[in-house]
Amino acid sequence: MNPVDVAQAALEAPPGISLLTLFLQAHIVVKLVMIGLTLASIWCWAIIVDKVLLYGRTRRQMDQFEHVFWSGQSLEELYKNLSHRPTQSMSALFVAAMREWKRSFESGARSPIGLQMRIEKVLDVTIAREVDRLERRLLFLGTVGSSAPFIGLFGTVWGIMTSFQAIAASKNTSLAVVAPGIAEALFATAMGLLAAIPAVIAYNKFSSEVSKQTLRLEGFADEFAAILSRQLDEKR
Amino acid sequence: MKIGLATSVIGHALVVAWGVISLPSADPFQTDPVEALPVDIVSIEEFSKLTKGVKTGDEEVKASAAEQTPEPKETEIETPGRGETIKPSEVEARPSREIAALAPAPPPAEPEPEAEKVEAAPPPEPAPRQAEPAVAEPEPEVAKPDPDLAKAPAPRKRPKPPKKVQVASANPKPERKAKKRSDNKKPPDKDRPEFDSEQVSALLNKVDPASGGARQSTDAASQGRASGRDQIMTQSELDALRAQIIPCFSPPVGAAGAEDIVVALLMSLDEDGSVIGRPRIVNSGTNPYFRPTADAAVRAVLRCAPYRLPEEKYAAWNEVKVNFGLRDIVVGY
Repeated sequence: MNPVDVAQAALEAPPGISLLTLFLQAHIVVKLVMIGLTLASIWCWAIIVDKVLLYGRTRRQMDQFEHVFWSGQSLEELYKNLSHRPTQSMSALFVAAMREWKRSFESGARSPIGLQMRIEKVLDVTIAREVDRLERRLLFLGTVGSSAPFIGLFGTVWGIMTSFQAIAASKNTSLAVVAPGIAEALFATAMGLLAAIPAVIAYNKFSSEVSKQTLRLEGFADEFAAILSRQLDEKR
Repeated sequence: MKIGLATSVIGHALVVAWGVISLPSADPFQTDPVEALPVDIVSIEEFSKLTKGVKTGDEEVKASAAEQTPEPKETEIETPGRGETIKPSEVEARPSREIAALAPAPPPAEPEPEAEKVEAAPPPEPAPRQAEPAVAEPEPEVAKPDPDLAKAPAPRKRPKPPKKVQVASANPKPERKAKKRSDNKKPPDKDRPEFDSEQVSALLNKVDPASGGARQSTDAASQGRASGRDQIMTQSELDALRAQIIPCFSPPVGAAGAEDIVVALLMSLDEDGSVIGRPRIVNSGTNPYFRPTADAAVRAVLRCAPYRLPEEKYAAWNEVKVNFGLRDIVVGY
């Protein structure tokens, strides 16, 4: 580009420094960075919304189930109600353990110790599955949170690099020539931070949420295993 | 997950749209207009050139003086106008006899010389030519035949360019060439011309720059336009003078404690840079070598004269104070 044109463009640019022109004027690499960061941000927020809904729902279900479970209702009855519909979290634990219990008795299992062990195994597996469901995609938030600033910084460095090259080409260091390039470069960092900050916050929040719910599930599993074990002893 | 994704996409779209629409562009900074500070870069050289031109003007005057003998009166009338460069209209309007009456008028115009200085520099040249006929030839005429006419030219001289007219005729010449002319004129003109023409001029100037036409005439007389501008010598000009003095100063060698001796000289300079009379030693010292050092300083000042100084600032350097020390020479005024 002719230096004069560059300077001219720079002089005419100021009125048009909007987000759109910032993006359109940027170098292709910076553009890619911006697009990538935008997509990352979109996906992050999708996950955040999804997780918020999921955890809220899970908590509600647990409360509901515990209420029903400790209401003195017969386990058989409860199992009948729950077994024929998809279950989640605590109810899933309960159904899995009950199923194992029932199968063992239907097949006439002899060893109560073996049954005890099997039930605990089933509970562990179910807990693992539930936790996995809760934790899924959280890692993406962590990754975006830690790497988006660097990606944005890369875009900025690249943008400033090219703008300096443009300055060298136009042989004009007036601020009007320098500013647009640097502004567009910094825009990349801004987007990186925009994507990273919510991701980091959400990741920390959700991590603690997951560990809390996991603890709750494990507590319930232990309690339920104890109940079943008592039942075994009583039946003998 | 669909809900989350949809929400996220919509949210981002909204944010981007809001960013594009409501934050379309940065508000330009409001900067108060800074008043331009006009700076003229004027070299000393330019001034010296100007004054040089004036010098030559004097010479031309002489040459032309002989030619324009015939019409002394008319030319005289014109001179005031040119000298002032301000009121051509008045010049036209003035009848020759009213000159005497009008003569007072020019003085009011004088305050403007400041503005004129530069501009005026060229005009003086032409003015003298026509004026001189009055000065040069009139000597006889003025003195004898027409008392009225003689008075008429005199007033003109005082107010405006007493500098030019009188100066051209009186000051430079008396010192260099002909004092006679001025002598001749004095009787007819009155008191002032006497002061101007003679050596006393420089002293008078020093005494009070503010007083009437006499002094001004002397000042300006030399170069035609030593204006009323405040005369301040720049450091570089002072240094130039110092540099001219230094090579001539050879203080007594090996004097004990001579480093502390400072000899303050006050010297009067003529327009052409030559020293008038003998420099005065202003201070005194107890050091036995003070006297020799002072003598060396006086010798140095006399030997190096004439000094090259900006002539239009003559008013500033007509009297210069020079401190001679073994370590340094300081020039002030």
